[in-house]
Amino acid sequence: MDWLEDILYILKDAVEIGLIWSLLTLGIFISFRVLDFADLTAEGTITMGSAIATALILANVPPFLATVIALLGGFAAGAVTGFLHTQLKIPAILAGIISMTGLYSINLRIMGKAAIYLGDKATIYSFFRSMINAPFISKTLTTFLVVIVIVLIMYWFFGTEIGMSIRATGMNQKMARAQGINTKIMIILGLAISNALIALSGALNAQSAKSANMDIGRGTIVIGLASIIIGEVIFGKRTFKNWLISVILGSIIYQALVGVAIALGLNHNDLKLLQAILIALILSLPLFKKLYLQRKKKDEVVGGA
Amino acid sequence: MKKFFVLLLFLVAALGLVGCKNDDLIQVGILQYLTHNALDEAREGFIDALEEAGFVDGENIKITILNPETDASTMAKQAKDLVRKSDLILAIATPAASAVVNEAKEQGLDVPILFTAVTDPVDAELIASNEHPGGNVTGTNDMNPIHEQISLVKQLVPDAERLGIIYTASETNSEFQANIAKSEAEAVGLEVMIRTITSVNDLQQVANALADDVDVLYIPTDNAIAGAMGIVKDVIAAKRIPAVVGEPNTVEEGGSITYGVNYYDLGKLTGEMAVRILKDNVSPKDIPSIGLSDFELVINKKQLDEIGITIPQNLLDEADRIIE
Repeated sequence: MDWLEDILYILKDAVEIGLIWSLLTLGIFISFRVLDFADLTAEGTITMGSAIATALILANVPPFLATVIALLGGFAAGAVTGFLHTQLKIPAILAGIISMTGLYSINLRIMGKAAIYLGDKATIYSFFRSMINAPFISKTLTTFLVVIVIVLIMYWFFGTEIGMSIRATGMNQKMARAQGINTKIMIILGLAISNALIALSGALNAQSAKSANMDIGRGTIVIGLASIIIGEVIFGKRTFKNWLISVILGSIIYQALVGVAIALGLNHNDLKLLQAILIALILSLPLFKKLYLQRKKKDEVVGGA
Repeated sequence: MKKFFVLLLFLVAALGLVGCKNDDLIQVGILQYLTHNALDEAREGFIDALEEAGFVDGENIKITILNPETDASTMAKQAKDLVRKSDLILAIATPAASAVVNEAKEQGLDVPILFTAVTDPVDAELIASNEHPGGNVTGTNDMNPIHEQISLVKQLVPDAERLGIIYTASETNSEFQANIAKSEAEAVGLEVMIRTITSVNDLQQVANALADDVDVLYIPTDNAIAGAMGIVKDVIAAKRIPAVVGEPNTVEEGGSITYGVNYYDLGKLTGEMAVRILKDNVSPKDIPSIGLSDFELVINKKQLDEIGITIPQNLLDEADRIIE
């Protein structure tokens, strides 16, 4: 039963990789969903997170500290985008593109060259790896703990007055301003938190892959968006807590779907097109869901009559 | 929740379609970082070398080619997949090699791993040293023969005094080569002027200005400039000075001359290593990591004739390819 084994591996890989990318998804969730801000900084900050973490570990900074500094780097980058948008009145998409472009040079400066490698250096994953001699379990456990901490903090934070103000700003800026909320500060803060999580995802990714390179950011926004929508469609967004969990599960399922595409042995030259089609389908899922529900409703009405 | 199970069911059904693997065949996995002329050629060379030694895809070996097109999460999955299932792995380009080597280490599996098209495998932490790779990893590097390339300058223009070097500032690999080229050129008594561009948008101005001050141009392998060789071609024609370039493809697209790495040959060299591992049971750690010793001399005779440079007969005799 080779294919049963294949499924097991696809699911394992999806959990292991999807959890790392779920932090990216949570970051993009904050900008796109909570703030309703199409932030393109992400492609630069995920690279920045991996660059900072890798460069610092190579400079013998403890991995945990390196990861935290990477997170702070993302926070700063997000704040810059927010500043460009709110203070300098640059349109959202353009502000993100400007930050992303600038980050390219900054990331190259941080790494010193286009790719750096950790070799046998200890990473944030080494701690559990040294205790548990099972790569999947130890790695997943580490990422899982990080994700749990982040989700708990997010759940708490977005329930505080500041967190609520950020959510209100995203829902209706004019109304929020009328309530006395400083929406400019809220947008800057929201984008900073969003990019902090994205950089954290990059930092974990680099430590998992034991390398950082300039290509990692390519296409990350689409991955994040697709993961969010999959999660929302399958697991719902009834409450904020439910929404957060949906987004994380969405990330894992997205990775499983890509895993299936690879396992099916699809021609690698066509993989990008298939990914694009897959993502277009996923992004249109809410429409199909609506149509399906409408039809069901109709059927019920007819059935009842 | 119901939908989740429907999805899972779909997943299971989809996987059921995956053909059965034939376990009698030797599984050879190839992870290629992205689609690119040079990397494709290396892959073909590798497969041809296996075939010449009697390892034919579908007969006694099964070759699986995966390509993430630089996508990090896809590459992580593909590396895991290959490490689990392969009896031998070829990784093409440094990021792919790093992913496979790291994954094998992580899983504690000692599948033999070969790499190719890696400029500096020691720096990338793939192997301990070129002579004694250690571990289960070895392969071939694609370092340019910069010494030989610079020697072409004086052969083409015997009274050349000044050499101008252009590369893209953000490409560290190009910077690395430019610095070596500078010291090689100074060693043969040339005065060197280095100019960088930030993108191909500056290429024309920078190259034109530099061409006025120097006798010969040198352009290392540089992804951005490689995509805009037409501009270099125009500068060469307008200023009537030749350009020594980093690799054969760029001569075809407008450079004047090079000694370069033939990626097909490089792949073939790697394939021969694979044959030693599969047929003679040699361990990768006993196979030194090497680069090509024989480089390809490519001359753009048409262009050099047009700008009035006489090519020495010995170069023409030695050339592997002449563009007429």
